[in-house]
Amino acid sequence: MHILEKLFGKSPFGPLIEHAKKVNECVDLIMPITEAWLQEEWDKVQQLQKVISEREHEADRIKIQLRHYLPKGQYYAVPRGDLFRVTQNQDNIADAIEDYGILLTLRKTIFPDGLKAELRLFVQKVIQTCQKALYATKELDALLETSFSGPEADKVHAIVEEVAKLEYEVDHASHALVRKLLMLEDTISALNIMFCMNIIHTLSHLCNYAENSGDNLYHMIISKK
Amino acid sequence: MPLWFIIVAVIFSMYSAWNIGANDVANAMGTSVGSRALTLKRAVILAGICEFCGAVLVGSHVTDTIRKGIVDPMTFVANPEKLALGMLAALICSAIFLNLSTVLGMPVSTTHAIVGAVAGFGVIEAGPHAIYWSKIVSIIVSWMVAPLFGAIMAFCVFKYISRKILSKPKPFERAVHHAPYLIFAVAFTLCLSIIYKGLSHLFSDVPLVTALLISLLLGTLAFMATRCFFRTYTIKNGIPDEYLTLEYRRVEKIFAFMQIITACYVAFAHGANDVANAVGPVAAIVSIVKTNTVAMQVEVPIGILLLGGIGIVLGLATFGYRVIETIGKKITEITPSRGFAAEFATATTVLICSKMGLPISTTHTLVGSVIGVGFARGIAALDFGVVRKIVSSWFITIPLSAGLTMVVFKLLVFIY
Repeated sequence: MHILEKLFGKSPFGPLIEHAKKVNECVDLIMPITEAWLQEEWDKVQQLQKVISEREHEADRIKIQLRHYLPKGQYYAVPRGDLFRVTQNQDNIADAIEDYGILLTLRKTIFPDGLKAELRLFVQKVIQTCQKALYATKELDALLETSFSGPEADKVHAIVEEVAKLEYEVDHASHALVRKLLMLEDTISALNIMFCMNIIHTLSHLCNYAENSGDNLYHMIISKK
Repeated sequence: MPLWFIIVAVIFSMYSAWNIGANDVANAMGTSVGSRALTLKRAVILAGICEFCGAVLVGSHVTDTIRKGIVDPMTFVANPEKLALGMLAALICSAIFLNLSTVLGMPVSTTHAIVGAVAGFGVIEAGPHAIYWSKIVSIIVSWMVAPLFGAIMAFCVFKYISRKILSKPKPFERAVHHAPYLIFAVAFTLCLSIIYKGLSHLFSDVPLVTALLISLLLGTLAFMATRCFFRTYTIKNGIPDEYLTLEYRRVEKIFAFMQIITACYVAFAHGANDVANAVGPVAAIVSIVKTNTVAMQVEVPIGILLLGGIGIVLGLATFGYRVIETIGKKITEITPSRGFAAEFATATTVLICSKMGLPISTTHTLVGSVIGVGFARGIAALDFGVVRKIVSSWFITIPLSAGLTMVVFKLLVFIY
């Protein structure tokens, strides 16, 4: 083997982007499963939950593969620890989506009709946050091309800031939603309310992970400057 | 000294030159073929021309080092045939070493092997006082300094490209603007190396100031030509796109053109430095056979450099193209902008060393330069295992090849 071939290590960015794409496929199922739940199509909820689990599992596999791409003796254009942290947080997103799916299948939780419209808006915001954060990861190829500076870096910085802002909004929306839910405590069973709250919490946690992933990504870019 | 002696020496020297062409030219051209800036056929033709020119025009400096810079030929005045035998032993050893390193997968450089080999027979025949130890030390130091120098230069060149072009809002426009300056730098150093103390075969020595002026003039011409070329290229290819990724692809296109120039530059520098591995010992042998004395002041005969050049081109044509192809396919991590920086740094370093008569390894220098680009965050991941191997090869090559040569030399003396 020629010495030059040995000099180049495997780039971790390919698998990292692939991982982001797989997690994004999980995010794509949030709205369908939410709709199925709100329409009380329980079979469909079960079905979608299975698909989510499968995709989450695939994402896990990519994550494990990625570790093989990161041997210690190599020199990376970005800090190795940050690469791990970005992957971990992306993986947490997929895990949380799986938890959400399972919560919906555990019992036939009924969401109050009057709040459904607001819940839909809330879920949409959650999806937007996740997608934004994962989109930032997909920019890594272009970032490498510019050696992590210039307009590409600014672009990622802007995305990450937007993610943080969205996460803040999601937090507020979740508090408002829970408050309104608790106003109905006399009309809905306690168990039902507990499950609704859990569902909302799981969703807002999703955004925390998205925000962390974005933060790690940005840290990865600006370090070593 | 019988004629058969020269024939044997020439055969081994051609084998060595063939090997240089077969294995090492890929360093220069591999990435250009990989990025599709050049077709394989064009790469082989260009590399052949540039290696040949480098060997013939600038090859004499390092050749002089090999034939009379390591062992003092004057200690062999009484028995010049011993010097010839020793040089033949050195040639044979470097050939053995080359095959050994391929088998063992060690990044051993033929350049390093030949230096050790020549020193080896010098010590055993004439004793340690016949060796120019200061020269040996400066050569070994240059093996370490050259990759480091390449790394620093590649780092700076890539930082320049990154700051001035890649991280600007309109990178394509910036690339078109800066390309002529980069080409000027290549053309200027190349011309200077050829004109200043380079063409002594054809003209008498040109003074430094004149050489500088001519190089400046030719560099400016290259500047203008590049500017015109990219202007028409830009007009033909319309307004830049708004999508950044697409725009970067266009920037890389520009660098792909420029990388052709640096690839030729590397091939030229490589020819200038490495031809000596093959023809240095022959140059010593030929002058002994011709005059039957040890002549110090004789110029390296241009015929010998031609011979080395032809050997390299033959190696390239018969086997080297395959190595270029595999390297080009496997190394996709290095885009033209990275390739440009690494090749520019490598070629300049190797050329400077060639002018100073320092035999160094082009491959090791290229590895250093690529690492320099990596430190400037241009490459996703680098495996430093290679570096460890290279560093250890610096220390084991000389004693090993020296020892081997001593054995072969004693055998030759016995046969003769």
